[in-house]
Amino acid sequence: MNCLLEAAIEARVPFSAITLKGAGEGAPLWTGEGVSLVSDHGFPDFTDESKALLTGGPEPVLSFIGGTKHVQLGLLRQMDDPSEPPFDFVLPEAPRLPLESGTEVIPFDGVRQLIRREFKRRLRLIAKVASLAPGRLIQFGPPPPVSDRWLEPFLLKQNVSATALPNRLLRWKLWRVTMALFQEHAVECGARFVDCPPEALDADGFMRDDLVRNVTHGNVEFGRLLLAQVQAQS
Amino acid sequence: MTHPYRHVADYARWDRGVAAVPPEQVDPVAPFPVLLTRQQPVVTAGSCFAQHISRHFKRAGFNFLITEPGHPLLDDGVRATLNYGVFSARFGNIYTSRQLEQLFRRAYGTFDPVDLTWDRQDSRLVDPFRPTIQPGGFHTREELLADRQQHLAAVRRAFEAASVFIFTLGLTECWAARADGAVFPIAPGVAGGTYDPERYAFVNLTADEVVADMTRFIASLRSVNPNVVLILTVSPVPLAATAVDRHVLVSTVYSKAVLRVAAETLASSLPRVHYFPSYEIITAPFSRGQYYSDDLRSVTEAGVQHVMSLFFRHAAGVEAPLAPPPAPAAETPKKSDRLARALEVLCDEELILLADRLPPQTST
Repeated sequence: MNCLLEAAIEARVPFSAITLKGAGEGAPLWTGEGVSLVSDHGFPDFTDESKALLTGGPEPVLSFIGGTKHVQLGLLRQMDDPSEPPFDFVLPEAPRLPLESGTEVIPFDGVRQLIRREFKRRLRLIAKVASLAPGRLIQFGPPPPVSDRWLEPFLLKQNVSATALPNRLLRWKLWRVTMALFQEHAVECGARFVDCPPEALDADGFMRDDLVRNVTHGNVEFGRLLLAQVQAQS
Repeated sequence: MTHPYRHVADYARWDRGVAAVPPEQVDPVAPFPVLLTRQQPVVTAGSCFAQHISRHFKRAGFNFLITEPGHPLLDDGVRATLNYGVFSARFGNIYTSRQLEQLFRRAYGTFDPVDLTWDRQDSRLVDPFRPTIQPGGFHTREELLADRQQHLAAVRRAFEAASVFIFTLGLTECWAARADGAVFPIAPGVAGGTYDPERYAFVNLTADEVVADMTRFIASLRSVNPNVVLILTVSPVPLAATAVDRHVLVSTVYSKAVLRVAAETLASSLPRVHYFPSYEIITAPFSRGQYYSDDLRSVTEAGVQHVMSLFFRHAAGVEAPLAPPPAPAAETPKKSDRLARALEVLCDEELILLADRLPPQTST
């Protein structure tokens, strides 16, 4: 979300934002020129102030509710848990991508169920926001995976050997499953879904290196692309 | 006056072994060699009645070997939906002796059937040899073939590691590809594929054919696992339908009679092959039909309990099977937790970075 907010601030586009981080009690984190940011994780429910923000006005509500569960699943090989052997799966939209040898192949329907389970609370939250802002919700998909170049230093920083990097194709496939799940859910909730801007992807479908902030986020340039996409569709 | 029946055991006489015994205590098993310990790996396969056997083995604290349990990332409900753990490997129901014998050859690469995949009406695909194993079908041919390759590896592990292999013979009627004789568990067109009489033929196995199939299978199995013990049972579940133009009851009795004769022949002619009379326990008159549900096909839980309590008593010397062992204690924090936290930390860091980029704070 932050990359878009930064881009909006830079472009002097006024906005109000709710972040799921922080204490979550609805307290304003920052209030600046045309900008307000409150912390409210919406559990068990949004505060009255957040509800007023979501229900008031005709403006679209942009949702970046997502998470990193699919990224975590893609890093499982680095987790040293022998009870969870490395896995792979065949993605229906790209069935000929090679499977990694020595992995256990999980049926695609099982992977979908797994992703759905991992994101259950976030999906419920999207439905809640959609019900508060009917017809106005625009849901963004999670950012694309980063290239191995970014992953290696991250793993080293966590004292995890990066001699065998996670299966990059698996990370990409998990992102595609997650994107599809969020898209499907957004449509079910009556929301519009915004896919990743095609120009943000490299030739292999990963986030362009120059748009990466860290292994799970894009930088302000990525935010500019998202903002341009939103403005073009508005 | 003496005669050959004068001193036979009580269980050998109908009046003392059946008619005079309370129904729930009828025990047609004796004599049966004690075979099983709790440590010996047991592999199960067969028709739908074999699912009950698997279920009870899992609950009873025996070493029910599952070589294809599904990935531990999937929760129990999803794995059950995808038919993992129903049998030792994810092979679904194996109804016929021929299907079992061909499964061995497919697993070891000596039989490569022409029918690779079957289409569903919704454009998904099914495995002709396990048409219902993947609810909703496989999405792509690549997914199906990868899953099958993994499955057949699990089948090999099960065959090679079993101390005891329990197989429930279910049917004699089956459908086979005319091209290569490959036998399918369900007729083409029922759960995928297209029924084409030019390509598929009906087969109703005879007792001799069942014996021949099973003899080949047992020889093959012992070529990779010389000491394995086999226990054969016959499913008491009647045919759902017959492809022979006669009453389904007549076809049912014929099929079960063939299977029962074949099982007896195999048990009496091959070493370390035994017959367990689950068929008799469920179907005999003493239960007065009470071991069948309202559809007169499905076996009631009381019937299954009767079978399995006698199985554990005679085949394992156990009266009251143990409850499953407790779940392992909580583990120490894993690397996965650390990485997950690190990713969360990244998100928190994002918040901090955002604060740095926000306009000057006017209030908090």
